[in-house]
Amino acid sequence: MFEFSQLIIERNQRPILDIPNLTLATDKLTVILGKNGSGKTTLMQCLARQLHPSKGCIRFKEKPLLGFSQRQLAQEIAFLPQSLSEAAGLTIRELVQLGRFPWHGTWGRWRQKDHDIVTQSLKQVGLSHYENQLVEEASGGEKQRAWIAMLLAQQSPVLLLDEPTSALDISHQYELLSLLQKLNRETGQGIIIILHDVNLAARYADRILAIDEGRCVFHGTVDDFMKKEQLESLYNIPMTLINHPENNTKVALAC
Amino acid sequence: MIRAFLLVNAFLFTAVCYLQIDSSLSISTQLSIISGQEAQGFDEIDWGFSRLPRLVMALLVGSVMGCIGSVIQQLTLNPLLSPVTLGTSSGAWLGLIVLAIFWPQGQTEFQVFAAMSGAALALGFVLLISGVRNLSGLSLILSGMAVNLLFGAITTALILLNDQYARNLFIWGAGDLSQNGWDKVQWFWPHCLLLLTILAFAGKPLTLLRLGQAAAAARGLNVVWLFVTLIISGLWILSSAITMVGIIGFIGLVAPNAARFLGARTATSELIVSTLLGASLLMIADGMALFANTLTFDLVPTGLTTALIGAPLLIILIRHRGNKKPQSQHAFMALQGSRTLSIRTIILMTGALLSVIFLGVFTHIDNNIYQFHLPNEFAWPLRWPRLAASLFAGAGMAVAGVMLQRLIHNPLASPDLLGLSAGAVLALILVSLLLGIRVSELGPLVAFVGSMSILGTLLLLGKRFHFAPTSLILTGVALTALIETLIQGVLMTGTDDVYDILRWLSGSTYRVTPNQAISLIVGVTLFIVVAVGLQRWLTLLSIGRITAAARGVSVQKSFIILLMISAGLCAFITALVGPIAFVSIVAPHLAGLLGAKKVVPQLFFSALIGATLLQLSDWLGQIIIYPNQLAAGTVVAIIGGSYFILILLKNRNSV
Repeated sequence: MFEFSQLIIERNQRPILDIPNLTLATDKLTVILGKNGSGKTTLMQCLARQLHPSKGCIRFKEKPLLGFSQRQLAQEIAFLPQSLSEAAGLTIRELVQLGRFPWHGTWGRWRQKDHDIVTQSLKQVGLSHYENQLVEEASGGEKQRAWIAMLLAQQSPVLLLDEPTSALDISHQYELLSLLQKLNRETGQGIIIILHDVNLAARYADRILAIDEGRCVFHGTVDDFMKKEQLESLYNIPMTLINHPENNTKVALAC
Repeated sequence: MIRAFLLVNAFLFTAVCYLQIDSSLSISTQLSIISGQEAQGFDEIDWGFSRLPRLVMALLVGSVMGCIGSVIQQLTLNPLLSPVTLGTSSGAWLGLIVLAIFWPQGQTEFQVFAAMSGAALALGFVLLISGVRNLSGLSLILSGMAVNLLFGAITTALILLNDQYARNLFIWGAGDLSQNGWDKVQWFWPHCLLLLTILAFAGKPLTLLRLGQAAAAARGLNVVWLFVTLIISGLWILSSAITMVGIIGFIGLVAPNAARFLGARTATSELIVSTLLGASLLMIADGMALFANTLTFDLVPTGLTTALIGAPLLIILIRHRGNKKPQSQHAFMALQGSRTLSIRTIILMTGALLSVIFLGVFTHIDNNIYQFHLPNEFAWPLRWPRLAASLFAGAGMAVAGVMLQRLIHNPLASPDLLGLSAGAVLALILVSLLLGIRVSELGPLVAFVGSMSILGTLLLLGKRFHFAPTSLILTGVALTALIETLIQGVLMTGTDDVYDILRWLSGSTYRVTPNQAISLIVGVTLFIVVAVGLQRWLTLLSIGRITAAARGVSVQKSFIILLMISAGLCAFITALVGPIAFVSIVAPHLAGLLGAKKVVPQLFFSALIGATLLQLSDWLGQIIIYPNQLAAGTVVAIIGGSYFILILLKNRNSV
């Protein structure tokens, strides 16, 4: 459970994120939506403690976020940033292995269990056959999946993903979200994820958090979110909602 | 308008003050000399034929530096470039030394050409290394510093081997504006006419260039043509200025930044304000030098006072920038070649190491005959400390390089660029000057303390910008430049100690005592063991700070610890052996090229290559110009620097 109190992030003396009061569940699949520059990434960086608030604080598990040591935090929260580094000279498997660092630290020994977790994570994102390929030679989508596998190998109860689907084709996008949903249902891991695709979000999310100009404008269930006025005021363009022809959900069209 | 009026008045006032320093003449006498009256008596002649041309020269050279600095910074969109950071000054210096040694008769007529060719050569190398398309990043500055090191090493070697010709060039190297007549001004001012052309016409295309090279080309600008014209005319004026007064750093760097800081926004206004600021800055610095000369018996070169004003200004500018978002770093990865380390490569490299050790142990030169035999009981105690010193110093520098490059995320970074070696040199020189002991007798302790105080300064200054790699290395570069000017100033005093210091500077292994060799072996081994122990931090940090933090590494703490290990290793070796350049860049690079791409293999393999390289250089230095000797540090800088440039050229073509 993340609890925000009077959180303000300023840049050049201008507030870019202002959330007086918010409680984010860490046992559900929550999707953060919003326009470019609305403050989604800033919010996520705060959750991952990559950015320190100018005012106010965030509590996690009823403890201030600053109260965790870096390793304790990584054992609790696994964060995937928006832009992924080169990771030059590492194979995909070696990259995924780095996800185990929080558990055995600087000098701790590798056990069979760690190797198994890495193998399983690679399998979950469908990269088992490419594990010996160099990361810098992988395609954009493979690279992104490799980083996601690293996140899985970290086995933290909370996963934070900032636009993890940006380099994935449509089938991998749906596979990834199915995988995250499955993880959430089976292991109870909480997932907070930034997406741009409203329909992808609507299909998999338990809860939606909408951000506009640094403020939280909606936080609730998908059904409550998929309303014409709601979407139009968030994105400032005309939207139409139609019923899915086969299952009982709504599909948003921009028009 | 009022501001401009005030500035002009301040400028005139400074100029008048400048003319009064250490002069007993009344202002009316000075005015009548300026208006053409015949000077009478020593004071008047001295004033009219030394002080007045000196002022004109300072103004001319200052405006040249300011204007060219602004041109270079606008061409590259890189606010931290200047003729000095681009390596052109050391190139010009090398050109002049070569001319002075190999063709002294030609000095009167061809100095500008020599300086110009040297400068063009240096600039060419820098551009080839970093790539014409990659001008705005840190890589350009680092390759400039690398070329500086290479050319500096060659120059040092030439001076040491031909000291009778080069002695009087020290003064020149430190930047000296003294005049005895109007001849130099007469010669120099026509070159400055080019400046007017640049000021008048360069503004428009430079404005367009702010869109970036591709976008400017798409608007119809011939980028290559603009670049070539501006660089060639800039180099020409610069070389003629350097020929006249020597190397004067910092103005080209500081003036354009100060101009922007004062609000010169458009390209043309930046050019003009930089030119005026450059002239004023040099006038003030030279006034300080004149004033200092009245206090001491030694000559205080203007280059020194310029650096004293410029370096703090530069550090302030970097700190100012540090709060902004760092510019995009084109991580320079020339890591092609083998993908993994094959057994064959390992055997081959181990074989190379063993054979250079073999050469080092068994080669003797007796009466110009090369012989191979076991060293006798007299030779062996002299030989093994030297061998151990080269092997372990090479290995240690390589490991320090691997660590720093992974920390700073730039494969061109090396610990000697952080100013650590310069700090050691400065401490040694200061102690030897103040306490009057010769450098060779000073304990390595002094050198170590010098390096560590530089590291402390860096960490203190770096705290403000949270140890952002770019700002850190730029602060290091500024400190290095400041200290090097100070060293030049000390060298200029021209005592016999100078050659001792130069020999130490060239990084030699033959002074190492058995005790020092043992401490080198133990120390370097310890450092390497610790580095390998922290390999997981190094792997995570080299991927990125966000990634490392998200995996549970506390970034700031581990960064500082690793930086201190790398810097400590470098300082320790520098203290015992002297500055060893390039091993820390070339060995990690070569290791990566041969397939050692992960942290642990790269650490070990770089150590292996570093040891081989330094021992090979030491051996070559002993035999190629027998009976003379070149220090291992000099040879390795020349071999390493050339290899570095070659491999980069090769990679450039294949990309």
